[in-house]
Amino acid sequence: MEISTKYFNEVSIAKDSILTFEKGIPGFEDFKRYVLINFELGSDDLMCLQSLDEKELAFVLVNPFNLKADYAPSLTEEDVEDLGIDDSTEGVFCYAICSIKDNINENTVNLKSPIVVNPDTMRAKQIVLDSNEYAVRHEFKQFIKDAV
Amino acid sequence: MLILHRKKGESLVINDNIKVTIVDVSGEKVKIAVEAPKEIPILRTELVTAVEVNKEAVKTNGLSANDIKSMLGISKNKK
Repeated sequence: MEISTKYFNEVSIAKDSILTFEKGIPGFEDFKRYVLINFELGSDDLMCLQSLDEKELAFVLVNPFNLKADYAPSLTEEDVEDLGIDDSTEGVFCYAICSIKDNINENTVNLKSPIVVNPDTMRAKQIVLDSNEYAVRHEFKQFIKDAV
Repeated sequence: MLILHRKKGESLVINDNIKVTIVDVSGEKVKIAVEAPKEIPILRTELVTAVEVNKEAVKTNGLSANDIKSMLGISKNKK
């Protein structure tokens, strides 16, 4: 099916690539269906989480493990249930939402509430981590400096 | 700010239509039950922050996919 997107014009997506956020995303509870679109073909370092139902609703996601190799998000029992994770689940994906500002130095990344996707059920959720180690606004440039 | 002590099983009432009960206490965690009219939103504070940050994240002031790629080209910055 064809969908209108914020960054990539019209995009053709497969029905089985649709993610369901049963509770929506905090602040956008009415929108439940999204797809992940790679900014660059073949790389999942930078992704777009695009709503199927609202063209302008799109998040920029990065792979948090690229920023922080020891990043350790943990799921609550409720998260496990919401995502439909069971013994047969081999692994889940985790992405961090970026806030992009006009000034590149002000870009931030949210490591406190990542997006978690269960590829088996195609259910997804923005979880909130208990840990005080992670904040909702980490300066992006901090990690780039560390990576170089 | 009102600060008061409550034990497991005890409760308090706010504005005669909201009841907060301490269901359980174990270690550092307190389980709370809130009974309130449906129209009153009850959110964990972290979630309120998440809402705020999410709303900020979807505003990208007309940047294109290429702009974002060049701003956040993480792979290019890796060894």
